[in-house]
Amino acid sequence: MAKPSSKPTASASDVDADRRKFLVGTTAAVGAVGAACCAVPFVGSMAPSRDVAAQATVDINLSEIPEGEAKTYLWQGKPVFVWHRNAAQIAAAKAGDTTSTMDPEPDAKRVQKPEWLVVLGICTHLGCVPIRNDEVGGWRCPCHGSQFDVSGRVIHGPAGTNLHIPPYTFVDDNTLRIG
Amino acid sequence: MRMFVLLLGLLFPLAVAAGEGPAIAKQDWGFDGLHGQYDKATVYRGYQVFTQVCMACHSAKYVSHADLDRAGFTPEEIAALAKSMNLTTTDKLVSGLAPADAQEVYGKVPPDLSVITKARAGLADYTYAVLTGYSDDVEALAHAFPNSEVPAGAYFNTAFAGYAIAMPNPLPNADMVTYTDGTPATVPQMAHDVTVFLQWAAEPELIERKHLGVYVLLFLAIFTLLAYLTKKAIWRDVH
Amino acid sequence: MASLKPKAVEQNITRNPLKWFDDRLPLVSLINNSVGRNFPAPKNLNYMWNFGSLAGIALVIQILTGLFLAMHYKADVALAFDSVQHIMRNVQWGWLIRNLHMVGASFFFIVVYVHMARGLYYGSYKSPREVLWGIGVIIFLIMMATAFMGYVLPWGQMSYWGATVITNLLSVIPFVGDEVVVWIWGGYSVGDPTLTRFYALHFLLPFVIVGIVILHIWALHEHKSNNPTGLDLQDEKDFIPFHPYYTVKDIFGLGVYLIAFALMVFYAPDYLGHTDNYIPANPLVTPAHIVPEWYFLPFYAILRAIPIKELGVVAMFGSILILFVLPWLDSSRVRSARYRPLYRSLYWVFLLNFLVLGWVGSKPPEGIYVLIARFATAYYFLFFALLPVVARVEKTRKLPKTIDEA
Repeated sequence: MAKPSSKPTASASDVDADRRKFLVGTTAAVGAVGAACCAVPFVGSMAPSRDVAAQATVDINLSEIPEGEAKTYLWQGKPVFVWHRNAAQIAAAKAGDTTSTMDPEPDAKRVQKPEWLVVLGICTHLGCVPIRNDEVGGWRCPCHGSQFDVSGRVIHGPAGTNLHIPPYTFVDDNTLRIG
Repeated sequence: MRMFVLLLGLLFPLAVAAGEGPAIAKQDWGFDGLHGQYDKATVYRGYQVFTQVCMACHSAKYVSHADLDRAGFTPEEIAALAKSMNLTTTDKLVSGLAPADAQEVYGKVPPDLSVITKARAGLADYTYAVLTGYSDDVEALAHAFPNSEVPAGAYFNTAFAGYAIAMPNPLPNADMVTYTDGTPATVPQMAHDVTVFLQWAAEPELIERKHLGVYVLLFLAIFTLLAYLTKKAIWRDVH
Repeated sequence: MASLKPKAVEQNITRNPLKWFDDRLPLVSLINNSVGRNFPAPKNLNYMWNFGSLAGIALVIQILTGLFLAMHYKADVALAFDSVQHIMRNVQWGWLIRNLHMVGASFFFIVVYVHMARGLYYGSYKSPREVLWGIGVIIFLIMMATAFMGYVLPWGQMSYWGATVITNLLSVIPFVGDEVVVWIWGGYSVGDPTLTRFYALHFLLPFVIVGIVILHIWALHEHKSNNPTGLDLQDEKDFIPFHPYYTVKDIFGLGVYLIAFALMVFYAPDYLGHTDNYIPANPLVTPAHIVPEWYFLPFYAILRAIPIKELGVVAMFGSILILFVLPWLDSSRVRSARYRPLYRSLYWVFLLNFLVLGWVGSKPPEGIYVLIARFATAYYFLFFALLPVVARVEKTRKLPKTIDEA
């Protein structure tokens, strides 16, 4: 292939080489920044969309849960157990503070109001939904047999940690807002 | 080479599709141009017209109160507006008039208005022209219909294709709504405001789009200039 | 047979990792040989030669944006229109990705049309590049099919009626036409099965195009680029390495292209579209004035110019297929129109005529427009028919000996 046809003087070509190096470097750097910025919309488009994000909270009418019963609600596509605990169940949960030793946590720290237990209905082992089981006190996971007590604390493996607690607030006496 | 550039320049004006029907007057819109914006006060007045007048028959099924954040509304304002209509912030703006009932009463289901300003030739100008196009002008009527008679069940409108529209004049007189900001609710004012609202409903991303465009173009201008200088420097020894 | 003697292979991965890798899988060499230092390109290419690489980039943009749109789009007649609105309103950056894809399709066609017009002007289709040209025409055909099916996906009024009209063209196939159309639809009208299969094909075909583009580039490498003089270049000094000379030139061209592209994407995304496509598809009502996307207009005009349905369809497909035999129709030994005064005049009239066809294709098929369309269609074919004659009677200008002399 042809080499450059005209031969500039030595000093001029030095200046040229420097200038060329600088321009190539700057253009490449600016181009790289631009290309990196191009990734932003594509990556961002896979994040939760506006309508999904807008449904990040769910309001629950507490009067529909009779005392002693638990109901399951869908929040962000995940099950949430809301348990309206009666006096006996609250007492059992308190008693569990000393016996549930796999992941010790006092019941008082797991609830905002003792009569309302709100936990994420997802087994901390591998993500199955535990089933209510009065014999174990709380829930038993159908997948691998993990057991959780009346405060959602793990009392039997293979799960190693307690059921998680979603963020929630009591909007008024009758309304619970999850998220 | 020069001829190619010339021909390419010719291509663009030719690409404009043919427009037919009544002439639509161009309006000055705040959302036009490189720095187009939605004026929050105008969008809010348009929202009042839409919810109090249009929504009697028309829906905007892709639009909810939550979307108003893109026109600069605060979460508190959005919550308050939604509550005043007994809706949640994510409920869509759906008319109480069921499509089947509309079919029976008007013989036609009113079109959804979510993207109306993008769905008619003339765009927002067209929406405004139809809203202000109802006329009692006898001469205009005689010009449009030889026997001065509008077909049954239709209304005379100077901007509508065929001059006969099934929609009765939604803004027959001033003060159809009471603007909370004290703006006099004249017919042109209401038509203007609700058109801006509908444009916002059709393109809520417009502000972000035009804003981002400035930065992208600025970046590209710098990059292209650098690429040009680099090209010249590298090609020096060939030319 | 190639030598089986072992080459000197880098054994130490840390000393020169790039060479170590290249000795085992010559990927770096492949790039260097395709678009790098080892690919010689004529030194006199003008900016018209930028459009080949631009077309490649336009294809990549379409595939990339299309992939991310596909993550949100729903190919179901009940959901398609809604899902596009979902992309525009709810998906983060969804409006940007869709605008890029929508405007990108138009820009892809602009680039490819210029690319083809350049080849036509400088005789790039002539021996020994007939196969290179033919592969290009195949790419163009698949591109048209892809764009057509893509336009159906938003399921607006133009999507629906465009699909109806274009698929109905196939009913002219002798004996089995009607059955073929029903088969394409998967029903007795354009409907849900049609939309779903169009979506599947719209996703597949771009990758087919990528494969054929590789063949296109392969064929290009066999005889290198043509050049504005159309001369066969033998001398080494007529060539320069593709990299850095043409890479940097292409990058500058890309910058200019992206500025025009960004202007449309951010400030006029719907300018080349049609308002009717923001009305959901309605099988009961045809829009008053159906037009295809702008890039199909010239061919649409040819279709409508001929009053007999079968002949119109044949003419429309023929107007593209005739490009395959162009290298044999034009038997002139001189490539570049620079040295062919008669061909050059006919060429510019042809290009202008093509624009006229596009313009008349956007007009209703009545009155004067029909007449214009017929004349323009006649010239379109006349141009090709005249080529063998032109080659015989034309007095070409004296060719330069070298490109430096030109």
